[in-house]
Amino acid sequence: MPPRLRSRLAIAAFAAAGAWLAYGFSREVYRTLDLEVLRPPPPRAAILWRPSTPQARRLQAFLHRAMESVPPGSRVAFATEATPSYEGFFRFLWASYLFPGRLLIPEDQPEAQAAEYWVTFRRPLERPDLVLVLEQGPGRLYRMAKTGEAR
Amino acid sequence: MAIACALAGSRLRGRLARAGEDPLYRWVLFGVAGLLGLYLSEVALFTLGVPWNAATLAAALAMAAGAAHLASRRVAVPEAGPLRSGPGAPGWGDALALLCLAVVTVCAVLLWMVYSDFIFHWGIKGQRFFLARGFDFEFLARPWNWLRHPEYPNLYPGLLAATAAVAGRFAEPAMMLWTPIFFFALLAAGREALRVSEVSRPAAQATLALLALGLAMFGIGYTMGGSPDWMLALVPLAAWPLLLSPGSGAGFRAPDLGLGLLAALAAAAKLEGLPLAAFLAAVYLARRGRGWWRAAPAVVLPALLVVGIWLVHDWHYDLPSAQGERAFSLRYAGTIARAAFESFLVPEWHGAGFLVLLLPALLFCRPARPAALVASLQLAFYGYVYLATAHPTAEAAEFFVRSNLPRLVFHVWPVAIVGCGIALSRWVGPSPPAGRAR
Repeated sequence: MPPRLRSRLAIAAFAAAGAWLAYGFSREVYRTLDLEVLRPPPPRAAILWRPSTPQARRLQAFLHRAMESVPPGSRVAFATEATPSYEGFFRFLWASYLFPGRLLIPEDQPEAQAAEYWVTFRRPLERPDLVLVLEQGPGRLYRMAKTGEAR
Repeated sequence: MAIACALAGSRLRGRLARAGEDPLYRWVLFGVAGLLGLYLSEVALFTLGVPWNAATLAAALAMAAGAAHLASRRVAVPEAGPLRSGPGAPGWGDALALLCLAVVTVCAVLLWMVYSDFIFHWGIKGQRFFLARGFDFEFLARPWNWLRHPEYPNLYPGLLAATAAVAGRFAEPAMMLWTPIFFFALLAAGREALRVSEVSRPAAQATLALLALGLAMFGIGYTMGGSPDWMLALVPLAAWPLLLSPGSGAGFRAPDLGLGLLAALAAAAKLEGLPLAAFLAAVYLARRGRGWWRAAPAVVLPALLVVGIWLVHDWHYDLPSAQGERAFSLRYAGTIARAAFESFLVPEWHGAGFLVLLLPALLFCRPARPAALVASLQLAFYGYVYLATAHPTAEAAEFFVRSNLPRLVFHVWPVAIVGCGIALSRWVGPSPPAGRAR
């Protein structure tokens, strides 16, 4: 190939790649702005939540308040509504991140039975051994009832 | 925190610095040394039962820096190259790269690009380590934490915990700032890779701009903020100059330890970094030529040290593993190939992910050859893992590939784009003087 043509082709390739990546970059920045600023993020599965996703915000607001009633180091069982596939597990992962200093345990683990508190998301619990401490939006905080304590 | 790490790492300057190198790149290597020094300091404090806080971490890092200073005090430090003049002088490509860096920084600090695994995995580990003032293996060993990869190396969560210890609280924006820092290191490594490959200035500036645009595009779009994958993307690109001009002769040479530290960073960052460290060391030692065995300790020992620490922790605390069964099979090869093709097509890559398929072709481009070989081996390793994982169904195989391949491509993409830029630049101008690149 003649050197001059080769050189022009290379410059064209640089220009095309630059234009395409600049478009891709602008597109991703716009998409992020759209999700975070221009439009409220849509409800979605927990694996796709962002800190700004409404469900994540509601869970965070509830757990922030719940922390006032749950001392650090407490063992807290976590339960959520029956969900398809791994949705409940990812909600658990979000909740444990947003509840620092407390040991969050999924409800299906044997250790959950020894928990001092229960946190639930979109799932009220009707158990005689639990006392409702806090209810905010979709979240509820219960503590284990003391012996002889009325609910 | 980053400055403290880089300053601590700079005490090794006599053993790391090479004459004429880009000053920014030199500080990238110092930073890598400092990160490893911080990690080893954390391990030492934890082993001695000393809780982590700003004072203990600072004291341990200062001691590590002091030891590094003693090890390199009698070695003359070669002059770095000029930053503002010569072929590496700043230009329009640097300006565009800084613009991308600024956008990534804003998106990271505003939590617009928080990586989901930062919540599920890396961030919560850092948070627990910060609150426990040390590695919280009791937490990691809980059976329901298997998805958090308790068996993974802990350099990155330790870095987050140390950052929180200095800040006094675990604040996500501060944690996210590590992402633009690693992005900046990638850009500095890219500049140096282009300089040592003797690319013409316009081509170097264009390639740097492409590197910055592509990384920022995928980083923001795929929400890679707070991910340690930036470290794995940094390692092969930062190793490029060292692989291209390895030390020679029987004695110790600066590139030996630099390469060793980069391999150690890969091995301590993520599980995927282990093969990367092995490929880096093997390719480097093969290029080192005669006397390679004398360089081997500096190249291999840092990675062996961090891997040893990691294995001892896994064994001692009996940490559960999320790794599935291995059984090499071609049964789902078609499904995996299709899922891989679709992974390259994810919207966030805008088709640029396909560039990594050119890595083997870059073996024919001399300056790109060593780094392209490492990146090709790493990519082939990912392919092997897909085939060697015992997938219960075709759907599981497809999900496995699609859920992580776009992110794994990110590890080798910087080498691919810089290599392609260099290959194209050979078409634009006259070939560089022979003899520099082997």
